[in-house]
Amino acid sequence: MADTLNTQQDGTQNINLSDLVGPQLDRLQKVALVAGVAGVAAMALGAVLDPADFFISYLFAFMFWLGVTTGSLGWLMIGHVTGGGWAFILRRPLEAATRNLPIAFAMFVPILFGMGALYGGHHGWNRPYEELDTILRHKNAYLNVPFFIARAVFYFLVWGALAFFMNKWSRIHDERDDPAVAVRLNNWSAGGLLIFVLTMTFAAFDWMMSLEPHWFSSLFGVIIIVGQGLSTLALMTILIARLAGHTPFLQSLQEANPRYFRDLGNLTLAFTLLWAYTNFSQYMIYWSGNIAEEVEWFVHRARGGWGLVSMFLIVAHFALPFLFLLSSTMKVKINNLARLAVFILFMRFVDLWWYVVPTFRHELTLHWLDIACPIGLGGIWLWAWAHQLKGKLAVPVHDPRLRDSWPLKLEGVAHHG
Amino acid sequence: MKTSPRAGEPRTPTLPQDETFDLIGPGHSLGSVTDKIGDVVLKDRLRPGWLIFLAFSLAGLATLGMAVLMVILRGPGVWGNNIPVAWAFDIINFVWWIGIGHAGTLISAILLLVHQNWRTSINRFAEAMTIFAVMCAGIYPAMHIGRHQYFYWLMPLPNTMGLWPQFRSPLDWDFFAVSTYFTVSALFWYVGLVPDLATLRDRATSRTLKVLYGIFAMGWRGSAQHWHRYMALYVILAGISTPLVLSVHSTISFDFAVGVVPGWHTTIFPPYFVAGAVFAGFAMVILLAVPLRAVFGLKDLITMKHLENSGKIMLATGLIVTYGYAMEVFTAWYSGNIYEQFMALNRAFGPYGWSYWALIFCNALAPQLLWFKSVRTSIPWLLIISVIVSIGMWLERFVIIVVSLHRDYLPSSWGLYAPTVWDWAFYAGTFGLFLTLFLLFVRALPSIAMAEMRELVHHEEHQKHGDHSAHSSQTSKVEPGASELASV
Amino acid sequence: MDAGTSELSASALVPTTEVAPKIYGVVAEFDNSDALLAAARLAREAGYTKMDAFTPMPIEGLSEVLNFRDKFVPTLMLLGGLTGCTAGYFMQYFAAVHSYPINVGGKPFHSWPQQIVITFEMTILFAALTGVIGMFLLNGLPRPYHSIFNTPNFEAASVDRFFLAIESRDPKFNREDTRQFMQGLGAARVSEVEE
Repeated sequence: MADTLNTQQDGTQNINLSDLVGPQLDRLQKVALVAGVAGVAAMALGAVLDPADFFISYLFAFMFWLGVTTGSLGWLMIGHVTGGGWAFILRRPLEAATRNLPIAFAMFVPILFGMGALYGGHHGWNRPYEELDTILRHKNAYLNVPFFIARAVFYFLVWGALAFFMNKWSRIHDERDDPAVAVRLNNWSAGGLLIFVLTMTFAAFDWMMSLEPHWFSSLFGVIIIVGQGLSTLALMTILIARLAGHTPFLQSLQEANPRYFRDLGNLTLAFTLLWAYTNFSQYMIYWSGNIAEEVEWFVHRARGGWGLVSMFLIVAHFALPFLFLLSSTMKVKINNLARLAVFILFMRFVDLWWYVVPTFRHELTLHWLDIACPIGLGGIWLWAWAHQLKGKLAVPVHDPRLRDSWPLKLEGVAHHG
Repeated sequence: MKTSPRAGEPRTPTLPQDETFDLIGPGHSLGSVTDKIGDVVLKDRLRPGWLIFLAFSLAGLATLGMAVLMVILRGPGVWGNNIPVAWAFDIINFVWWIGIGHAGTLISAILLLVHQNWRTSINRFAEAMTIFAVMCAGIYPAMHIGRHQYFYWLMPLPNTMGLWPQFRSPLDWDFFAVSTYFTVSALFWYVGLVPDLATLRDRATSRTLKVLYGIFAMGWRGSAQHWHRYMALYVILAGISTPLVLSVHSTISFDFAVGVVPGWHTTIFPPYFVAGAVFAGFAMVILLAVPLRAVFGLKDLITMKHLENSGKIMLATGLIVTYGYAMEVFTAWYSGNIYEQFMALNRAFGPYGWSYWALIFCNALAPQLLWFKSVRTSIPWLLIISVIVSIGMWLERFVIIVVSLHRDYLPSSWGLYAPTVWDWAFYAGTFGLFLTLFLLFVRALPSIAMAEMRELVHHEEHQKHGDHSAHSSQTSKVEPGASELASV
Repeated sequence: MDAGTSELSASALVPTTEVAPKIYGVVAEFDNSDALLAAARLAREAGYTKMDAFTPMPIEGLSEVLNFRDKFVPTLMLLGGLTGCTAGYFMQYFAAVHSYPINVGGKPFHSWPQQIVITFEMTILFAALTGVIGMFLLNGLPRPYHSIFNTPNFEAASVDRFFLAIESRDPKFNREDTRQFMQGLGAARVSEVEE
């Protein structure tokens, strides 16, 4: 027994992502690069032709691709704290996504040039102090440009530091099987999660909630973080299924450990429910209270055709995925789950679009930049992600939680792989 | 959470001889766990520890009787409730008790769904705790309504006046949520008990007990077909209890948040109430588990691992609650609304400022000690922190209810509140009821689920024997259930 | 239960002169679950269909071997939940819009956001009630008497012993053959159990 275990462990240690899915990664990079270049060109055109609309579309696209970067950081740390099959499968893709943080920061920089378009405007906070009303003058201590930029830099520094150490210690742990490193990963992840949730909350307040500066909701940060969690799960499911869904490696892993994959489906279900729960709570409380400054935000999302999008979100972001996720056939096969995940991912875009755009366009309108921006940023993001993944080991080989179950259950992978 | 304060240190602090970090002490077999748990019910002598606790609880129960009688005879005026503080101890204690119950459902349902084996030896008594806590909670609104004989008007019963309950009122949602919660918890508990009742029926030596347990076991015979349907039911019940438990405390938070009182009307309330409920509930689990395992010698079944994990969950939920406090304060300032800002200042520096700072100490600061493994594995520390957290979560409801109400919009309608002796008697009395029920439960029913412990022993034996071929695709005992859930 | 038993045994066995008590089946006792699982598998391969096993806890894979695959409980719970959901919503709709419309805080009579909580609770309540009642009724419980309780040492079935029964209503059942078959399965004890 022990002999087979060792030989197989040696065999699996050499499973490298480039060996496993190298061609698929190359293809993804190629497609992503084309999409990215085309999208960025369109965005540049849009920025010149129609700067005001450009920044609106850009912000929601940025919030999505930032969300899957920081969402990956969050899931990575949750995985280190709780362990579990899903964390084992997702570890490498998540780590690669966190290494995209510099890209996300670069994507943030253009927003600084849109401060006037996004946060100025008729009702914005970014106007000369004399023009502000009493409430905005009060908030000026927090909502002012220098502090806004300083906070943004601070958030990225904190996330960057977390991502850096998570990746570094994980690499060290792969090189030498040192339990102390695993313990360190675990401990720092617990604290890191706390820091992450706090910083992400304020980032959500700064970048999205302050678009309507009179409006406020103490649940807003949680809603954005839950959305990021769901986006990340959906994106990772799709990427894994598309890249590796037909490789013998993933198929035998799936046969040996169906639970790992069911975990992914159950987490998607849980986050779909959490999304509905938090959004419903926020809506119901403000709808019932019916105080002018609190319902303004919802009025923008109920009038001018936006009400249809709101209804669409309830049905398609919550009810449909929920019903599909109840069935086991959906969850056991990652390729099935990935089909649903494509839909969920689309709804995540719609949700963020609905969160950002109605503030500016009171009539329901889909600008062509609303499509170009997510594609452009997404192309760049995916290109970089695939680049980050190459040459890395497929699985965390010394994960203490999985040492008992991991190599043994993949009989035959060595020959296939 | 953290496993040790610094990396690289030995992971296991030294423990007393009879403690273990395993899920179950060494050398247990199917028969021995059954004996050990069943004998507490069937063979154990009357232990002095149990009797002392019972004496105290009965005194509490008598107090409750007096307090209830007083309210029925004289009306809720015997309490300190007034205008503007029309909700006070009754609602504080109602929310507090309901919250306690949430840990039971979390352990029995959510931990089952996420494959946490360690729930097995604590789920039974935690579920009992849930049921008894909800019973205690239910007494408060029933007494607060004043005309107690009409409490059934909360139910949608057709009547000659053609009236219905006001379904748009959160108070009626509350009625539905709490009664559903009680019913489903009781069903879940009973379904879990049936195989154990059959075991007791088969092992009881006295005829009376055999018949009595036999009636409640309903003729359970452990047939494979029975288990098949049983597991399907059990896991789906767990699946639906999970959103249920979220909904119950969220609904209770709507009692407040739907109104426009500053300090009540904030969107973070639903998740923050749920986290607070679990936080206090796990404190109560520790407070009950420690004497239970000491008095009945169950240290090898409810092990240090269970206590430590409860400590970890307390830390995690405590952090969520602290996040809620931070959001409340920040939003109050950020809103620019003078009433919200006044509410935040009044909480900290008003006449009841002491309660706010005590709350911050109890719920936000004290649990930070749980970052250290040495604290999480020290029973005295766990007990101290659990008591602090229980007090803290009570204070939280005091701050939300009394402090928000006593000064809302118009200074002309401000007022102060002080509880009367009957408020305190009522609160102490519900402790009496809770503990009496709990003490009777531990003697009459197995306080650890025997059938599930056998599954755990069975599972551990298979792992030990390295029988991976038979179990490679079925790593956990909850696995068949999980697939049942998935097949809905 | 008993139909056919006597003819079958009469044709295959030395006929006994006394009136044999009707039997429920042949029951084998095992001391661990793996032996039980292996025995059940062999019995199925031998062509037995009316079998049941009695264990102190659920055993993975046992219901598959014995061919118990029904999905009644999940289906019932789904139906119960849907009923509760619809009933809960329309109960409120009926009361607030038709039966006794009353203006509260200027809200519309049909205030769907405020009807969600009760609808949800009713869904859960109905699903749980149908599930629990359904599970007991489908399993034929409560049932105070069952022949299997006549098995020697059956008290241990709820502690640490595992039983496999081949019932007399099985078309392939034959008192003597079945007993010999069971004895060949490595059981700790094999007994014929009376009705």
